[in-house]
Amino acid sequence: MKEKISALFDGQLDDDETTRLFVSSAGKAVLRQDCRSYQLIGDALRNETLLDADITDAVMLRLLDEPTVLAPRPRLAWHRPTMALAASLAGVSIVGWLAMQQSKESVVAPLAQNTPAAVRTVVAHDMQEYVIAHQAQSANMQFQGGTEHIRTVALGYGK
Amino acid sequence: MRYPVICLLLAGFSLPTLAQSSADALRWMQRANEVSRSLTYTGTFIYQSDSRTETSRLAHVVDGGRELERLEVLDGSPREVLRDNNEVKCYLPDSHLLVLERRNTRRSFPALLPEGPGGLAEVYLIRSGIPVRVAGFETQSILVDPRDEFRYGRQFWVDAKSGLLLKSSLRAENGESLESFTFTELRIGGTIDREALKAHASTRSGEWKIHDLRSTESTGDDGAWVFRNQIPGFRRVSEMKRPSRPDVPESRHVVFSDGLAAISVFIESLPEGKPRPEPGMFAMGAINVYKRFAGDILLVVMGDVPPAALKRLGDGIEAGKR
Repeated sequence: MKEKISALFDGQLDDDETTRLFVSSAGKAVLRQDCRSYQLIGDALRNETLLDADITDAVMLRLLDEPTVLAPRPRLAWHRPTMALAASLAGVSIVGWLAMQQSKESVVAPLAQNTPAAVRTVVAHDMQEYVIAHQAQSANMQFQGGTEHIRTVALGYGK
Repeated sequence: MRYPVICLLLAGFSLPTLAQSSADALRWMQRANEVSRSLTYTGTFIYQSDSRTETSRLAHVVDGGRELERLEVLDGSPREVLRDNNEVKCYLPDSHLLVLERRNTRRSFPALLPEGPGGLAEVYLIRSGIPVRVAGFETQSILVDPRDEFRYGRQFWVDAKSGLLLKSSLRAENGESLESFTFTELRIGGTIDREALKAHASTRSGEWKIHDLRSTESTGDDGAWVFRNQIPGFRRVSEMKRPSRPDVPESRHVVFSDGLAAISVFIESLPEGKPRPEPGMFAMGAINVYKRFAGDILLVVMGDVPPAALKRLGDGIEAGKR
């Protein structure tokens, strides 16, 4: 199966084989992650930084909004196998999309090239007053009716 | 790259309706902004940031043009935020700390014009979504997608009847939710007991510290600091000096906004004899922070924008010629 996925990304599968692959991979989260990894590795090897790996998620979000517009059809002439895969998997299963949203591991190494700087997650108490000042000065950009203040005190977390 | 691709796809299928949808969505946002300041309401909402979730209670009363508001976190430590018009008090019982701050009122909500320079529609693709039910209310959803990599996407759900914002989410470029809030129960109008608007924290028990962050002086753009790197759509909305405290030197606070997202720049000299904070990029839920040094000056650049925007703005800050 993994060879098939690899071949798909190299554009070496014909339409019938591609359809079979999609049908057999439906609902298999592990395979979907493999697909994502191959795609990322392929992009990285070809140095295709412009073809952002995360287009899958963005396209899937669109699909949720406008399913009839982008609904995949068999034998539709896609120019890029990546697009075909993204659309087909979304068409097969929305649950897969949800699973991917929750799967932090799907962010694999090649993605690093898209990140401008390493970001560390902090819950820093010494930052609390900065956040209070920031929120107070940006309150007018928001119209959340008071709920925006939750940011100010949410950082008091972890104590 | 991915946004142009999507824009093309959307444009190809729905060009005639997009303009209409965009104008409708902007009107809904304008209305939500207006009623958030004029309606009385009380409710419970869930706030999610990263993997953390908290439930809070909110009461908002408008009485003769005066706005009173109280927010209390119901999970964990009972933190409170009270607001009387623009005066904000944050009670942090765990650290026995009361923080005073004043909201900025000099600028009202930026003009939500669909066209024209600097408008929201120049930097975001704004569309009406489908009607959805939230907390028992019929809502109109609004999709706000960034047109570049310097801002996050947002989605709003506005009560179709009152116009109040009932749910909102902030999304990273990969579609992952960075932050969201949603009312689970809400009552609009009616009378609200004054007790619901008073602080529950007893500042008499134990030693409470008071940190007064309220700015004393608006500096305007006096040229003391120069921002060489601009971010498309972001304008400087305010600039002020913050008073010093025994352990904190005077600092300068400059705010930029594109109409929805905001970036704060804090410029401060380092206190003598104190260890230098660690520079770099940090994330605190939906807010990213970029710290760097310019000689003995610490620059803290933060906001609900992607790290790329903070780095670009932060790396272009220089002391001006006086």
